[in-house]
Amino acid sequence: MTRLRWIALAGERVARRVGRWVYDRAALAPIFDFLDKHKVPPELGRTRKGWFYVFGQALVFVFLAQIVTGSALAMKYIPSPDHAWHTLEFLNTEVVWGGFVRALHFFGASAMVLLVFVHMSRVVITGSYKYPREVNWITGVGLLVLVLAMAFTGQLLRWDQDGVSTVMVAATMLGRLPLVGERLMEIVLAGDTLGGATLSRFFALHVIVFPLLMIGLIGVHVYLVVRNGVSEPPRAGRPVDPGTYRMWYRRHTEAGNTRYWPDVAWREFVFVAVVYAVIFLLAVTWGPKGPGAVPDPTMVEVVPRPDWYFLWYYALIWYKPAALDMVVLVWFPLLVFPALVLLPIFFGRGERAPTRRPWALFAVAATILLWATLTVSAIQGDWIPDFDTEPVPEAVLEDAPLGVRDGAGLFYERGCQYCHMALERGGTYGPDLTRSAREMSRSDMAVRIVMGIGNMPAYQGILEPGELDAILDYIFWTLGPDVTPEGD
Amino acid sequence: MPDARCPEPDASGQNRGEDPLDDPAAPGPGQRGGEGSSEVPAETHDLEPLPELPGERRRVLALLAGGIGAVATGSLIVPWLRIFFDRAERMDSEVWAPVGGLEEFAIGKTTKVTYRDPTPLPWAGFVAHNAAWVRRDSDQEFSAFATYCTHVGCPIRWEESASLFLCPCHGGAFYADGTVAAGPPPRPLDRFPIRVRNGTVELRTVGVPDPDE
Repeated sequence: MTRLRWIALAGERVARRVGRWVYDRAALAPIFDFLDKHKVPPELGRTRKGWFYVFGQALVFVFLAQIVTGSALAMKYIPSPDHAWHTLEFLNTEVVWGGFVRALHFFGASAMVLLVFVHMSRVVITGSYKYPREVNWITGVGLLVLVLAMAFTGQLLRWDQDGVSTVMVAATMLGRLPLVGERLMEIVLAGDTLGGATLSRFFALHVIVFPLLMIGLIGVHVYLVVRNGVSEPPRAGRPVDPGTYRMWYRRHTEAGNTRYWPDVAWREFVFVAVVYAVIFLLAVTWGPKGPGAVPDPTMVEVVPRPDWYFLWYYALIWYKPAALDMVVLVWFPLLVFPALVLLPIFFGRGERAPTRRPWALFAVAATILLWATLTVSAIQGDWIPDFDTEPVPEAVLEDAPLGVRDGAGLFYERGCQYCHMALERGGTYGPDLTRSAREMSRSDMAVRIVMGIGNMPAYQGILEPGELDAILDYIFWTLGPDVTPEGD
Repeated sequence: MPDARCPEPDASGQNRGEDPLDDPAAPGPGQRGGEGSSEVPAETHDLEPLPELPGERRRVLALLAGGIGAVATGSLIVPWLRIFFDRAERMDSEVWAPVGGLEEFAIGKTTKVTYRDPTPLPWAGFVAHNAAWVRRDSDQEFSAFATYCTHVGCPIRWEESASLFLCPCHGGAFYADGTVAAGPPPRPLDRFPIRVRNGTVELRTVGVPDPDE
């Protein structure tokens, strides 16, 4: 026996002894035994349907990754309104891998928000919230709230102009609540106004309170998934009957003899690997997000935007009719979560198959469609005045009469061009006036400019005498020499 | 419902092959405590087994333990809430802050003024400073507007040549007197009290102005 082989054997003996000791004293036997024996519905292991049941575990793993990257960031971040922005810049530029970890944390957060909705959609489509899994769903709704709260506070902790605006917007919206509004506003700001105490409370919530609540709720959620069993893929004509379901489910899984480990777990781990790979790839290619402009409340020339996860809401509060102000700003956020909590209480039994539940499919499809539409329109932001628009260049106006040249200048100066196009130049909030001039008489347009209409301000107190005519001259000149406007 | 996590003893045999340590000698789940239970002496101590506590007494003890738990939780939650709801005192932050000399404001013009919170926390930095839009309506009359849109609170900018306040979030617009010109804002711009004292323009700092005032 060579010396090396002897050492290897001795090492193995020691390792086994240590392993046995830990196995015994840490009482790992029931855990390993449970993992080894836990049965899941056979469809998950033997059919490709298993791929629809991987999102929950991916959320747990991305959450763990967020704890790792987040705790690393907390070592450099200073939650003071004066320093926070600088420490993020410091992370980006000075700390080795600081920017990379910030990017990981941002794209991890994005993955959390995305996956929580994917997971929830799957649960709705397969009716998995029904008996006996009502509390699985309710804890899930709690986790949804917490994930969104983390996304919101995280965006705020970036403490740039967008971060500051986030607090102000939150405070203003809460301030609209009847009775308690003003008090809530003061609680969000930790005072009458943005100040030295505002940021640290959000830091404490984001870094300690919300994560602890999440760990607790994830614990209950996973425990219930284990105790109630993973819901079996539904089949039409096999409704949930609380009287017999548990017994049926036990027989179903016993007979199927498909075990969690590793018969279905491998899919979850493959999916986690894909999610991690995407997060890493995005972090490498895009780098960290922000921080943007310094958080100076006296700088008003900024265009605040929420992170992508709240863009849909940012668009929604534009699209809603004025009469629905309170509904969208106050009652919708206030009531949507209680409504979700009550869903399994009122629809806790019966068919689970999506083909027998067209309303569930419709709700999921409509939500996704609405979300996508709102997000895209928020990115386009047609209603935002185009503050960067440039005056019409001299060259274009070379042949124009003097009045038209004045009108072009006024069209820019008086702010028409922020919202209106003429000659393919200007904002998209209001109609393209070259096009309007084709369909509208000069006097009609004059009335609209002077009196205002809808979202058009009344310019009667703003325009000097003669300016109205110059602007109209310019607008109708943009039609080109061959077109004669109607009427007039 | 039988507990799936309580293995039957005969299951330990098949379990051994997949033991994490791959050691046939490792104790299976059926033999927890693997020191050989048959050798444990029957007589482990010589105390008489105590009679079970009467139900009434157990209820009282459970109530006691639960009560201690509740009091302990409460006595931690109450200070937590006190800290969470703490805020800078309102009285301190309302003072007349000078924002410029009378001659700095042209009649009919709107200017951005900045002021420092009267009693900022030492670490407030950027956010100790605030802005307001001040318009000189006539020789001695001024209006002061908050820089936040009344829709959802985005910062509004004054466009001098257009004579409008414009919001970059949802296209809200206000006239020079703060009334709504267009877009979704539900009410005019919030105003600060403003006055002229000895040739100095002074603004009453009320934090984010209260819409009811």
